[in-house]
Amino acid sequence: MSYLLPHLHSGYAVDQSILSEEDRVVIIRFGHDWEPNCMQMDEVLASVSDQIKNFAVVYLVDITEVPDFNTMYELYDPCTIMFFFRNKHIMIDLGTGNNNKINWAMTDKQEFIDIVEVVYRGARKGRGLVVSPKDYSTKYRY
Amino acid sequence: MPPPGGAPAPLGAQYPAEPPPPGEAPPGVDADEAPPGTMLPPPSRPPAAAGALPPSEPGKPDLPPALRARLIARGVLPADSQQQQAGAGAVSATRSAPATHYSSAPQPPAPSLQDEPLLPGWYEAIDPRHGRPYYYNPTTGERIWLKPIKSVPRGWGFARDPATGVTYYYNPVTGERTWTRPVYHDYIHAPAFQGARQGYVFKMGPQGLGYYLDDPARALAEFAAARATALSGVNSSGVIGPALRGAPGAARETEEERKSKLEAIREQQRLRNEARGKATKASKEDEELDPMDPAAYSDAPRGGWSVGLEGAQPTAADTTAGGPLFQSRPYPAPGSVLRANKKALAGAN
Repeated sequence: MSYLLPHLHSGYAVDQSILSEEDRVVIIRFGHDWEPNCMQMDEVLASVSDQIKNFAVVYLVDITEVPDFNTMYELYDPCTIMFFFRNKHIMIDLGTGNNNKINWAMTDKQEFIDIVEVVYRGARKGRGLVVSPKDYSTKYRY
Repeated sequence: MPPPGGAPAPLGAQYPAEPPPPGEAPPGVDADEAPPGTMLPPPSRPPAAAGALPPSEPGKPDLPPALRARLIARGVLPADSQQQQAGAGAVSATRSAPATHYSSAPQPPAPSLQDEPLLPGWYEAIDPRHGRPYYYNPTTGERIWLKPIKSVPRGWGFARDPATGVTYYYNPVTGERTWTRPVYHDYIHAPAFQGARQGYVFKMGPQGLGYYLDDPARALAEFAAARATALSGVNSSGVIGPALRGAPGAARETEEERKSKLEAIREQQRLRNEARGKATKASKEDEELDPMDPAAYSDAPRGGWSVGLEGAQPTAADTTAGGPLFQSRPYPAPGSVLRANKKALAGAN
């Protein structure tokens, strides 16, 4: 749950958390802890964070508490997940049309691990855009 | 393998007596076909000659004498079967005098056509595979079935109609068969290349563009003469094609000369296109105006397919889409976002 995962309480903290990771993907969930979609997503994140801790780290950001990124990152959804590697935003081709973020609550842990793995592999090679192993075009939630 | 009999091979002949490529059938096959009926009414053979003959061998089907002669000539039937033939209608496979003559047929040419000497440089040999004589030229390396003699143009063969004994001429390439001897044309005018003609070379020559009889000696002489004139500095008139090299002493052509050459080339090309039937630009404008064309019933100017698109043509992509097409730009890093926010705030203040 969200209490198992670290929170970031300012824009500076978000920036520093991304800059501090050299070899791991930084996963940031933008949303609210009380939001049902975010709760569902946090459940998945918490359960996989131990398995992916070697190549990824998860942070939670409350968009009311940290509104700095709302316009730039177009955080209009209840739950948004974005991936960063070495201070660079990594895009994923999910088939939804929006390559920049996952803006729905994923329920399958293994799917999420696969996505994070693909992001890590691609980002390590220097790719800015990776292709998700599963196509979510029919599961687009906006 | 040295040619058995026939003319002796020259000393130092490079080419073995190999027969022509197997793809070509020996023209003896064509000679055995029915004679051409294009120039002659179908000959009416006396039926008595064919039916009166009894079968030569028991058990063998009764063959008409003409067919039997052909088969013997081809070697399908043993030659001694011919001797078993009785009757005056038997036609021998050898080139002897014909037994019957048709009054409507033209007089056969002098029998010396077969005995006419070969063109210089050609030699005869027997093909071991088909058993027929072929002719080869060690200088050029050509090996042909048709006898190269002076009276008959190159590419034409002649043979005796086995039924009548009349000599006819055939062209295996085009398939023509005539009774009359084809004539050599020294020059055939052709504004554009219309296909290969055996024995002719398509070039620009003294009489203009067309097919000239291929004469290597004459061509060499012409080239030498042209080269001499080029060396002396005089521009050879009307020569289209690669300029004669090896003329270091030739005067550099001036700009006017080059322009006139371009004009000449353009004119030549126009003539060639017309000969080919290509639609030129001028003829396109003369085409009839379609009554459905808005230009026919209104003030709209007459245009073609691409009129009106010229402005938009270079950029066919959708310019209203934001950013690179089908590609989202990644977001800036959070640090840059913070800096931009700060700048925006500072700028607002």
